[in-house]
Order: sequence, then C-alpha cells, then structure tokens
Amino acid sequence: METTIDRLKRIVASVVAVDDTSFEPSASLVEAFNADSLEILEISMGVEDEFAIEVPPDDMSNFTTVGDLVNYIESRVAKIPK
Amino acid sequence: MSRKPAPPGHYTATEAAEKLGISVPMLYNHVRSGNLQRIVPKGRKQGFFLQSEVEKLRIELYSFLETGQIQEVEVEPEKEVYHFLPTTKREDLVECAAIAKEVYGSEGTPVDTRLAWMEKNPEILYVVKSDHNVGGYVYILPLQRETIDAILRDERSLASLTQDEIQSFTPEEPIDIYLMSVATRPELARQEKRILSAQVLAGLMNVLRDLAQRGVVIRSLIARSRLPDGIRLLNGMEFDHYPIEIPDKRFSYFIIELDKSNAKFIQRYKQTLRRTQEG
Repeated sequence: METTIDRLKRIVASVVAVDDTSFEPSASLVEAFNADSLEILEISMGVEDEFAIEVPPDDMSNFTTVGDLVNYIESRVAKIPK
Repeated sequence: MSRKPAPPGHYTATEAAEKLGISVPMLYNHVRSGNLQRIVPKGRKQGFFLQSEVEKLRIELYSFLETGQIQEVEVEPEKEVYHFLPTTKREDLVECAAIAKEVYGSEGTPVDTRLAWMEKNPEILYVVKSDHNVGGYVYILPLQRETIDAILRDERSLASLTQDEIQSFTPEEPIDIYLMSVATRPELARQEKRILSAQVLAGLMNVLRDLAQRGVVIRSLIARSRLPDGIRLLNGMEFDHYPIEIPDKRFSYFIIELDKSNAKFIQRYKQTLRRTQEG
C-alpha cells in the first residue's frame, strides 16, 4: 500500500521536477523543487483530488516542506468520517 | 498613501529588519514580545522604530565570539498567519495601494473611487491579511464586456469607472470579469511570497466556486499584464491570448471564455454551477 509521502511524491512530480533523493520530509517545495505559486496551487488541487479533502486557502501555509504537507494531509484525512 | 522615509532617528520596518539581520515578520515578533516599540506618528498608518532601540536590540541579539565572528542568538521565529478574506476597509485598500505602487510603480485608481465601487459591489477586493499587514490581494471587477474592451484599448481609464458601471454578482445575467490586479508584497522572502501568492490564487478559485454556488454565470475572465511574472501567471492559469484590436500594444492581453475552457479551476467552477442550476 502506498504511503502518504509516496502518493504526495507522485502529485508533486506531476507538477515539478523531482528526483528520488530530493523528496524527503525536510525538502521545501519552493527551495528544493523551485515550485512557483501556480505550481503550489496545482499541487494543492492534486492533493484535494488524490486524498478527497478540501484545502482551504488559509491552509496553504502548510505547503512549505514535504514533511509539513504529509502531516497536514494525514491530519485532514484522519478527520474524514469513516 | 505611499510609504514614506522614516523620520529622523527612526527606521522603517524594512530598514530595522535589515539592521538586525532578520525578516520583517521576525521583527514584529520582537514587537509582540515587547523587545521593540513600534511608533506610529499621529495621522500616519505606517509604524517606525527608534534607531537607538534597534541598536540596543541588535547588541542583545548578537554576541561577539573571541574570533570576532558574529553569532546570532537563537530566537524561535513565530510564523505569520495570513487569512484570505473579502474587504471593504479603507485601511486595507490603502495597504493594497502601497503594494501596487511597489509592484507596478503606481497606486492606480484612487482609494475613494474604489470605495465608491464597493458600495455597489462589496465583493471585488480580496486580501491575504495577518494581524500586522496585508500580504497580497486580488481585485476582480464585474463590468460590461464593452467597458472592459474600452479599458484595454485605453479609451477609458479605470479611475473613470462609475459606481453604476460596476456590475453585481447575481444569477440574472451572465457577467464578464476584469481581473484588475493581483499582487503580493515584493519585500517578502521568496518562499513566503510564493506561498502567499498561491493562497491568493486558491482564494480566487474559491470565490469563483462560491459565485457558482450562488448561480452566478461568468462568461469570461479578462486580464492584461506587462510584467513577466504576470504574463507567466496568466499563461499558467490557461488564459488564452485575447485577440483584441489595439493600436499601441503595451501589454499582453488575456481571456478565458468559460464555456470553451478546460482549465482545471474553470472545470471546477462549471461543475459547481451545473449542480447549482440542477438544484
């Protein structure tokens, strides 16, 4: 079963260039992958589709590092009623 | 209202942050912690910092090692939290005008004119705002298509638009929207700036979806830009080239005809609108 970070990597790699070694929790979307604002937005929309969650604009501050984003996704997914 | 130089013996926030070797948000952390006083002269909105206090704090923050190297004392940065929201507050419009001046070189249409527009339609300005400042904004103007075209051709200025020409967001009649201005504070660090810009764009998508939920039919989104970042952004948002006849093209002109567009955010708008119309 794919982990959250694996699924996230697939989304991020569909938007910006990612290699296996660089996709680690401390990697910053902006600094490590040079994601611009539109690419961050695309990643956000990809996260919404992949994890069936809504990412409100005010939550975009979680889109800093891979680790922050994984934590954010997992906390949001955990709140989805089973 | 433009940002003015600091009075004698004072620094602006940017200057004080530079002197301390920290970011502006970090500077405000020191204000909140009581380490530094922000002084707002009577009749002004912009705050300043006493040079003597900044110097005192600088000495406290930095300690000299025997080697003569400077070692920064660790201060845990407090993240500035920004919220996306609509606004009609004069002070927010003034801050947006100051950002516009830094980004575009001009404050553009006077604040009082914009406030008059907002009396007709209070949903035309959205900001990302923290407890301390506006970080970025987007203006959307619902106008008759011929009015937008006249603006693009420079036959009309934005400042000449009257309150009556601003359309309302109602389901009765399809509307055309002029994406008048999108900007973020240029002095922010690269990461913060990009994330704030993404927050503004995500907010704009939500505004469109909200309009769809209210049954508002948007016919087109129209914009122009002369800045490389703006042109890149509009291309990235899948705007098409707007083939409008303009003799002196100082800008690049863009349009999204919503019924033809396959851009993802437009698809989302259309799905929501369809659900609303189907009841």
